[in-house]
Amino acid sequence: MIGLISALAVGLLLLTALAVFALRQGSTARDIQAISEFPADPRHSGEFGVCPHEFVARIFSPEDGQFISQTHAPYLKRLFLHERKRVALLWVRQTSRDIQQVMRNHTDTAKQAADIRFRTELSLFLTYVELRLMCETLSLLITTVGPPRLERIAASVHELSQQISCAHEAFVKSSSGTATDTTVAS
Amino acid sequence: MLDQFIWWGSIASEILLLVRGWQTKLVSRYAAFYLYIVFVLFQSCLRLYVYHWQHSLYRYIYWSTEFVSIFVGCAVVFEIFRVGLRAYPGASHMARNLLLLLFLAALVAAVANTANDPRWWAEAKVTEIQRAMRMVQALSLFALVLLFLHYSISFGRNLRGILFGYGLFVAGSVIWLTFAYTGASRFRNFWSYLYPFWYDICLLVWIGHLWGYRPNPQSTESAQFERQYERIAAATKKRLQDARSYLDEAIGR
Repeated sequence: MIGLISALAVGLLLLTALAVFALRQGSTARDIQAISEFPADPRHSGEFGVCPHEFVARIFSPEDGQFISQTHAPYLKRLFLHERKRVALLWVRQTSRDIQQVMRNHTDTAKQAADIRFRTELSLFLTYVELRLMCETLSLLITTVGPPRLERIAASVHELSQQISCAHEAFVKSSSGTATDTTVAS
Repeated sequence: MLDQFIWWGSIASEILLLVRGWQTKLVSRYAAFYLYIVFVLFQSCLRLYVYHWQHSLYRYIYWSTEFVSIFVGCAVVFEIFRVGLRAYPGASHMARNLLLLLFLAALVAAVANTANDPRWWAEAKVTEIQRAMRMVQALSLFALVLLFLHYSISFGRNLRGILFGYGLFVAGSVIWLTFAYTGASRFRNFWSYLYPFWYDICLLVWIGHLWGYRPNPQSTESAQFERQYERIAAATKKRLQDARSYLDEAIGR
């Protein structure tokens, strides 16, 4: 039974991948044109921190929420939560787009590099997936819980990301160690 | 009546595809693909003959030609990989490693299955073995499509048509063989019409995309990035680490 389900899943996965590929083939040319229209934007060179640091640190902070609560005005509190959620979502989406742009810049050049390394590419891809997952999780949590109440959940997401990061660094160290060994041996 | 219509329809489509391939000289550009079409045409005519005049042999001929067509189809997958990534040595290197990993994983899975049940090879039905082979082919195509998506590889109309048509056919085969394997006669009856009809749709996709020659978009910058990969990868790693610390700064506290 498991064999049948996995066979069906493989068939459907291939159909889905082909459909996505068909859609993307049409949009690739448009994407290239859109990117070249904004060469001076610092985000397109893959630099982060366009948003001021104090602002970023404050998005998930409960302090502003506590201050608004002291006014005992329910309308003001609702308005604050609504606006804070919008700002937080906008920030996460922007960060996610920046990460995509960095990876796109990389793949555009790496696909033509004759001396590409499979392990390095795999490691970069895993980091990219991890960061995208972080952004998606944050978006979901902001939508459901709201930024001011996110602190505790965000802390656990952070802890999880730290664990993934440690595992990733161990992987990178082991792969670079192997690469050094190979270089020495050759 | 319907099965005869589908049968003759596919033979006519295959002949049309070959004639157009010959006229537009696409035959020399995509030799493996047109070899596959020639084989399928020969297979269709042979089956038609055996079905009408040597019916007792039909089952044997059907499954043996199906096996050969899987191997000829592997050449089509290789051609998609070779032509599509010709201008991208980096992506080509990644695809080679990815396919090698995939075949190794399939080999390990096959050995593990045989070790668990040594009689499997002796007792397995033809459909089971064929389904396993088609699944490996489907996974290879899936991995290639993911790689094309990841590296934003753009295809010309001809190669895109070959990939879509063959991908649709392989996905349909995996699904059809899964239903054939369940053994429910009602499903089998339904799929025995749908499967050849599905193949006719794939033929129409090929005819539409291979009607005239359309070149693949060529990269002009390949030489520029040679020997610079380590530097590019290090820069990307640094930027992704910046992104992580940027996210951590917001939620880490």
